[in-house]
Amino acid sequence: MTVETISNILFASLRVSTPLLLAALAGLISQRVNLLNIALDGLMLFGAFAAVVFGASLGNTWLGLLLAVILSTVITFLFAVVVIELEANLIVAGLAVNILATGLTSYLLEVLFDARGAYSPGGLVSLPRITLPVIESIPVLGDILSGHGVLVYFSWVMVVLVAFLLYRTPLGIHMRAVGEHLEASETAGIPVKRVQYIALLLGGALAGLAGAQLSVGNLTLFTDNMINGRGFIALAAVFFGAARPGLTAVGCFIFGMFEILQFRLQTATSIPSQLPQMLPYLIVVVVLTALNLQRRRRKAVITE
Amino acid sequence: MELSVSAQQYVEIIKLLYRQAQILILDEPTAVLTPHEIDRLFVILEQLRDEGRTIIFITHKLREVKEICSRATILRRGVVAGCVDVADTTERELAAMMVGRQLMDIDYEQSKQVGSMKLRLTDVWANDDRGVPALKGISFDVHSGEIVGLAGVQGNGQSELVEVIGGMREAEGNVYLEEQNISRMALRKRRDDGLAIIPEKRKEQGLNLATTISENVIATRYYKAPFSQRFAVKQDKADSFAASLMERYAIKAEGPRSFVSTLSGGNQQKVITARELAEDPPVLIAAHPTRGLDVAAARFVRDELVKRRDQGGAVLLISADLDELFALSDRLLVMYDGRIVGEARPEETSFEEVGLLMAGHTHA
Amino acid sequence: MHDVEMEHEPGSGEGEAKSPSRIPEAFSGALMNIGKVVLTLVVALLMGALVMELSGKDALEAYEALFRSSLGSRTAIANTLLAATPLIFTSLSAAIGFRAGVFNVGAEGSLYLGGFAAAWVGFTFTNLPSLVIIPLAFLAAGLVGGIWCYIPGVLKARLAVDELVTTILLNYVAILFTEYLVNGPFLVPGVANAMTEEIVMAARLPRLAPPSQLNASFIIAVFAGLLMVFVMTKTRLGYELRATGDNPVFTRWAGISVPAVIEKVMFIGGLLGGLAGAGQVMGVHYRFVAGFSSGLAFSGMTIALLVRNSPIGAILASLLFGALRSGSATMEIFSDVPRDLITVLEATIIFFAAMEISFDFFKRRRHDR
Repeated sequence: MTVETISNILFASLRVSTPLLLAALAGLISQRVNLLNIALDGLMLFGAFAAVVFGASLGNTWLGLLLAVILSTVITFLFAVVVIELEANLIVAGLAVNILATGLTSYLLEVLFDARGAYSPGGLVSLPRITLPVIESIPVLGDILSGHGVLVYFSWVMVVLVAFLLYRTPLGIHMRAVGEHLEASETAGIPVKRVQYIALLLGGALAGLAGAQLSVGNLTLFTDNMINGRGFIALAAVFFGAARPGLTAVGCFIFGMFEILQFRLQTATSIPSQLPQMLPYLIVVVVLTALNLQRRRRKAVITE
Repeated sequence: MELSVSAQQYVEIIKLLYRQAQILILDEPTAVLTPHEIDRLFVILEQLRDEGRTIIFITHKLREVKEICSRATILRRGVVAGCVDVADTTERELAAMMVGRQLMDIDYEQSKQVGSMKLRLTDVWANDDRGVPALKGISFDVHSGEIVGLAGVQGNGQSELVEVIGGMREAEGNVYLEEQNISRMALRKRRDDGLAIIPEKRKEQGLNLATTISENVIATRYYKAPFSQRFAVKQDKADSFAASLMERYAIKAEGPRSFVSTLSGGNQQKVITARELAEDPPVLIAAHPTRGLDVAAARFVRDELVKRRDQGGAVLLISADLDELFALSDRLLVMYDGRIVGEARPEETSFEEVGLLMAGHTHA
Repeated sequence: MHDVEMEHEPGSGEGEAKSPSRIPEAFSGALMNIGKVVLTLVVALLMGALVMELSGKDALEAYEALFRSSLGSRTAIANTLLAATPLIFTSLSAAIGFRAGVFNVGAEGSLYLGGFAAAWVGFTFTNLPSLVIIPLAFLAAGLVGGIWCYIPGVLKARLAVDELVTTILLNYVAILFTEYLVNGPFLVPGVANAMTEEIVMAARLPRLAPPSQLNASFIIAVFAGLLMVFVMTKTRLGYELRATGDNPVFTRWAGISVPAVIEKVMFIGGLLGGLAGAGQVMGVHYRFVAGFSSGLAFSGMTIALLVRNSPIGAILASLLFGALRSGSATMEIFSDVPRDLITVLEATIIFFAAMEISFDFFKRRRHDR
């Protein structure tokens, strides 16, 4: 285990945790208004799909990115209407979005591009990377922090922005109020529905970006099961971080690191690939269990 | 919430002030404050008053009324019972207005024979859902052949008390059913050993509104003979049981397969009462059993409670209706702020006295 | 704080009943749903048509191929029943969970693990007669599948860990694990990757209507459905799980252990998922093939939502979805419409189920006033 290997792993972990982080921020904002967003997986898939497809057909990755955000936001809007106006069951509607995403993207992939299962259009460039001017020269940290793709840095900025939104802006305060006590917020005159819509739509945009990062952030490839449950891992990170941006980001990093570790385990050892691949999911279940165990222990028994 | 409760209170008040509130309405603001914190709150309120703001202070605690209010309006059963200048009114008079005069329209005979101890609580402490102590050293017992009435303004620990007796809330201290310590026992076992509960919230805790009378009345006995045979539930036995209960308790519905959601409030309460009383339970907890019922239905429920007592049952009646408590109880307990603050026989006390205790007035 | 309930009588005076007695829940559930099901299906088909037309396909031609190949001949119908078989199991699995208020979507994992367990029995115990090995295989599949969902069930029941998230995550674990088994310890040299050796002849379920692969597991599935009707309406567990789904607060006050109910329901859901896998292994493939489930559990969930958890409804709707699935392959060949369209139809159905649940909610709200 050389320093180089470690910094290598940390670099890759940062990259890999980016889609998790963006999706987790989306889930976090939704969670703050008390709307558990199960649809993250599906929205990410739509984003990943749009980024590749539109990027290729329009010849510009950035346009692909833009359309990824637009598509996922539009779908989120549909989801939001059904859930907020029609008061449909949140969980069921979310699952519907996920299933719609798998079906529609596979369908369109085949109908439009004659591709089954995977699609990698030639000529589509991935999103650019940035080398950070001063930081790149720092001995070890430079290798870890510099040279990431655009969305990676963007996601870090988003952590700060989301924290700012939640804790320093009126909108953010309204969001948290709605999430904690809907009736009190209504009484205080907060436009609850509007706040919920905004929260969901913001989340939708972020989820679309998360998917785009997966499909055009590193390589340019869309496979029809590329999200692979990351939306739920992102949700687990939100639970881990108690819906606080900083702590959630830590959770995403940890889960991302597990994803990298399992990949390295695959290549470095002779352990068959599937076993390490199981790790991230298992870890998340264990984390969630531990969280609730701890919360239960903290619940007051009698004082005095 | 990391702030202490009193700090949260300050935040609430600051919120009001920030919005330039000229009229502040505070609803039971001292419920969770320590005496010291209450004093500090009052300093602030007096300051606000001196600035010319108007404060409406809702409370059932007489000490506070006397301490900080200039005028008082007393509400009783939805009607204004009095409007006074506090300085000219004694606590006694305030309490009297709160509880009114005994109507004497409900009359039941006293218990003929009080027997052995059936339910006992010793030094019970429990927290409410917020983690704040709701029961602070409750001790009392109920004997067979008596109705013990528990008077108190809602929110002084009565709900938590029922939950503790039922085993649905963690508590310190002990609960006994006859000689048996049931403190760690699950509710089903307590029920099997003779405990029955008419819960406070009829629709949420007492019934499954999505199903039939039949299914509701077997909720506490579906696993026992004759309703159960190995792993099956015998629908026909449930139906005939429900039918017989409907007759015995005059529940107006088309049949045992009627959905409970279609029944009136009174009939719904009858279903619950029927279910709980059907097997003559030795111990019955009745929490606000006549709340929201019309006169006939209320009378019916009270008749059943008295009947149970006369047959040897031990009944704990929790209620906010003093007429009911005075008429039915053989012994009266008063609960305030998680403690039993008074005990008396109804004929040896008065509405006024009880009202004082309910409002936290201590004979200093 | 002050919640005095005053009861309002909407009209007919104190205490008169407003509804007649109802017919048994299983039937009324199915009957009430048929109208809504038809409506939902029509809308879904329209949505599908829209998607097809927008992408340049001929919707009418596609639907014609779809229905011809699912219902147009004896073999077609047999294939429909074949496709319906695992769906019956997975929809029952979801339904029993949903009915108790538990979002158990772990059937996919149970399906894989149970299927593997059945295959293992099938190729390991080579000397047992059919009458022994077949039940043994199903038993193994059911047990393994059941335990797999029992784990998140315990976490939910005792620690309130969200079962939706955990069962979905564990699905991935199960899929990966069986993939590992098939490519590792149970790899058969010389055969293409991703499948185990074949199960012995004695373990294979008889075919019911050759040349279709329809087999005896269909009968087992229908029987399981009828058994579920019995469980839900006539047993103690059925009473408990219905009560828990309807009003968990009341159920607790009545002395029923809600955690125990949740655990049992999750186990049964997993058991049914395991049986689904066993049916596929022992009736269709005769070996364990990695990735053999094409979203069977999610489709099962869709069905359960559509029929509002009625077991009879689940059987009927599974037949319908089976028709869609079996016809979709032909539809793909003849009218060049990818079979993923069926997934789009399913998603539309779920959307509508989500909204229907809300209309019920509106109705009940108005009533409670």
